[in-house]
Amino acid sequence: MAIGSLIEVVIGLLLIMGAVNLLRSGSQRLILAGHWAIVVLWFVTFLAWSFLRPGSETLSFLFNSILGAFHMNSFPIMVILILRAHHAR
Amino acid sequence: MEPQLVIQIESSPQLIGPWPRLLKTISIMVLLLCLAELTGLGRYIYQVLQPRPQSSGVLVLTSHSYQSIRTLISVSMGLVDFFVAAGAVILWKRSEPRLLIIALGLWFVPWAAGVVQHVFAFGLLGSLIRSTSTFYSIIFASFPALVLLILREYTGHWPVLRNPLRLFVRWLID
Repeated sequence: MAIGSLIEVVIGLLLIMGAVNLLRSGSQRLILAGHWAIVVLWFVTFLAWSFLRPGSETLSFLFNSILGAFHMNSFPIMVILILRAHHAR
Repeated sequence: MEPQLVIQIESSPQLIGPWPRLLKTISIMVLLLCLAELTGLGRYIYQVLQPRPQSSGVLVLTSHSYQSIRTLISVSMGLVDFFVAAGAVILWKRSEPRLLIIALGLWFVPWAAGVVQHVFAFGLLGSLIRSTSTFYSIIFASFPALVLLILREYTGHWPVLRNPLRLFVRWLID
């Protein structure tokens, strides 16, 4: 839990620095890395919970995870797609 | 001989570049989000309708009133989600963003009501420090806000007030 929070703080700082970098120099690297990190962190957390949680309520867990995934990852995925579209232009 | 001036009159600036692909991506993402929210709403209503064990009268009264408002907000959000989904379908088919812009603007009404209700129920400090719900609500709202900003760029105008962060962004760039 504490490690996860620490990683989230690091990702937050990465995003802030990436956003400033994008505004100042147009470099997308940091902000892309930050958003990919959000998606990867969610996936790793999902896998970890899948193995660590008790055996019961599998369907409920899957349901909550899928709904949470849409809410948590729609913004970073959208930003990644926009930056890719901008880069491909 | 002087080169002839060529003026394109058939293609509007919005239909060139990355816009067609971007609009289709937005439509799909918004539709998926609506589907997820409507599924979550169905599950929430199912859970609310389930019989609960009796507890003390005061707790039941408080919980009942909180639950009623919560249900009202959730149902309103579900109704708005239908508008948002319709707007996304129209954006996909005709590249017309007007309905989606209006629906996403409406989406923020039940969202704000949910945040206000949470603050009233748990107090300002309690909702910000002890609970993460307010922060997660802001994270949930970031996607519709992003879509609104993109559609603003697409249409070339903004139906509400100008972006208050513009000065800050300019300060960062300069």
